[in-house]
Amino acid sequence: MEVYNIPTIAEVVLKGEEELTGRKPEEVRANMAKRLQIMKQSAILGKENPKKSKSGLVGGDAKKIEEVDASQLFLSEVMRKAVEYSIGVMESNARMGKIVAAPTAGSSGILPGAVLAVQECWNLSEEKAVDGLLTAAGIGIVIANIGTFSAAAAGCQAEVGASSAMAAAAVSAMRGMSAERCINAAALALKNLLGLACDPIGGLVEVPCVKRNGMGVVHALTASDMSFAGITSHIPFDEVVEAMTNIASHMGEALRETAKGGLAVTPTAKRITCQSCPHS
Amino acid sequence: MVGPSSSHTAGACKIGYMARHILGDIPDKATIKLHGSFGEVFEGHCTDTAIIGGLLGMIPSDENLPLAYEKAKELGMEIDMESVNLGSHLHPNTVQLTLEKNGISHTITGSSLGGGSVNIIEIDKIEILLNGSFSSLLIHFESDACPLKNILELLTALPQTLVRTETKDNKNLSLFHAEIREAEIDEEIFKKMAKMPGVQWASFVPHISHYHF
Repeated sequence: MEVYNIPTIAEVVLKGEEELTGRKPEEVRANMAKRLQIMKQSAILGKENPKKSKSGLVGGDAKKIEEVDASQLFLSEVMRKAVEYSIGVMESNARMGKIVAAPTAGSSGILPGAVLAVQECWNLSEEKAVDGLLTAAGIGIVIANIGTFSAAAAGCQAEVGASSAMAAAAVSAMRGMSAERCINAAALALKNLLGLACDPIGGLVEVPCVKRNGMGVVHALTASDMSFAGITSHIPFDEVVEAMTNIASHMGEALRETAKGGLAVTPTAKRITCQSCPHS
Repeated sequence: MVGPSSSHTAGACKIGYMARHILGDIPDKATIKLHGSFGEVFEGHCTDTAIIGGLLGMIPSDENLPLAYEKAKELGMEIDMESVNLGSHLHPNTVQLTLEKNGISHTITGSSLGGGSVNIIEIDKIEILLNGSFSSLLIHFESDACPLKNILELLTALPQTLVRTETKDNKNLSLFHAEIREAEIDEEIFKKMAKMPGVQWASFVPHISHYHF
C-alpha cells in the first residue's frame, strides 16, 4: 500500500482553518486548549455530582468505575480512566451541563475520555493533547463532508461511530503515529461500529447513550492499538464512511432517533420511561 | 454547548436564534412545527426549550438555556407547538417557525444537520440557504421597484468580507442574500440598504462563531 508523504493531520487542519476563517494557528490552538479544559471540567463535574438526571436513569456510573478495585479489571489503567471520563462527560450532558460536542453531544464522552486519559496516564503535554484534538477534527471534517453526524439521518454509527473514529486518530497522533496510521486507526474504529442504531429510550439522550460512550472509548483505544501493531484495514477510511452512508440508506426511520424501534420499544423501556417521564 | 443533543438542542437553539434575527426582534407569537425526528423526541432532547431560547436571543453555550420557557412566559410570548410531517424530502431534523411581532410575520424553515450545524432553507416561501457559519445579510424587495445594481453598489462599499451572494425570486418578490465573514455589519450602510425604494425588509443575521463559549 502506498504511503503518502504528508505532514501531520493537525498541521493540515490548522492550514485549512486559516484559509477558511483567517484565524492563525496560535489562536486556533489556544481555542482548542480552552475546549480541552471544558471537556475536563464536564468529565469531573459529571462524576462528582451524585444527583441523578431528571429522568432518574443516569448518574453514579462514572463514580463506580472510579471506585472499583482496578486490580480486578481486565482493563488497563489508561482504558479504565478513559471509561471513567467518558461516562462522566455524558452524565454531565444528561443534566444539561456544559459540554463540548465531539462531534455531537450524544457522543461527547468518547474524545475527551480518550485524550484526557492518555494525556494523564502517559504524562503528555497539553500541546500533545491539543494535537490530538486537531487530529480528531481532521477526521471529523472528512466524516462531516462525505457522511453525516446526524443520528436522525444515519443512526448512532454517525455519532458514536464517528466519535470513536476521531478518538482513535487523536490518541494515535498523541503516541506519535504517522498520519496514515492515524487514519487507519479511524477506519478500524468506524468500520466496527457500522450499522449501530439510534434507539434512545424515552426519546432522551441517556439510555443507551451514556454507557455506549463508555464502550466507544475502549473501542477507540483498541483501534489505535491494532493500528500501532501494524494491523491495517482492508477498506480505506473514506470508503468506510461511504459504507456508513450506504447502510444508513437501508435503515428505517424507527432506528434513526425516533424512539420507535430497538431498545426504545422493549417492555422494560416502555415501563421505566413511563415511570420517569418528566411530563407525567 | 448545552445539551443534551447537538442536533436537537444546540442546533435547534441556533435555528431559533437565526430566525429571531431574520424577524429583527424577539417574537410576540411563535408557531413551531416540528418535523421528523424533531417531532418524535423533542421532549427528551429539550428541542422545544432550545428553540424558544434561540428566539429569546440565547446561543447554544448559554447556561440559562434550560430556563427558556420561564423567560418566554415572563415576556408573555404566545407559543403554539405541534409535531408535523412536512414531507420526506426534508431532513429528519427540520422545524418550521412562524414568528409574529407588531404586525410583521415571517415563516422560516430550518434543518439541523448534526453536530450543531444548521441550514435555514426557506424564508416566506422563498428557497434560500443560510448555513450559519457566516453572517447573513438579507434584503427582501419588489423585483420591479428595486434594481439589484443599487444593492450591489452599497454592498461593495461594505468594509466586511463577502463570501457568497445569491438572489432568489418568488413571483414579483426577490430575496437577496449575502454571506459575510464577520459577525457585525456597518450600521450606516445597512440602514441605507433597508431604506432603498422597493425594499420591504432587511435583516442581518450575525453568525455565532463556534469560538464563543
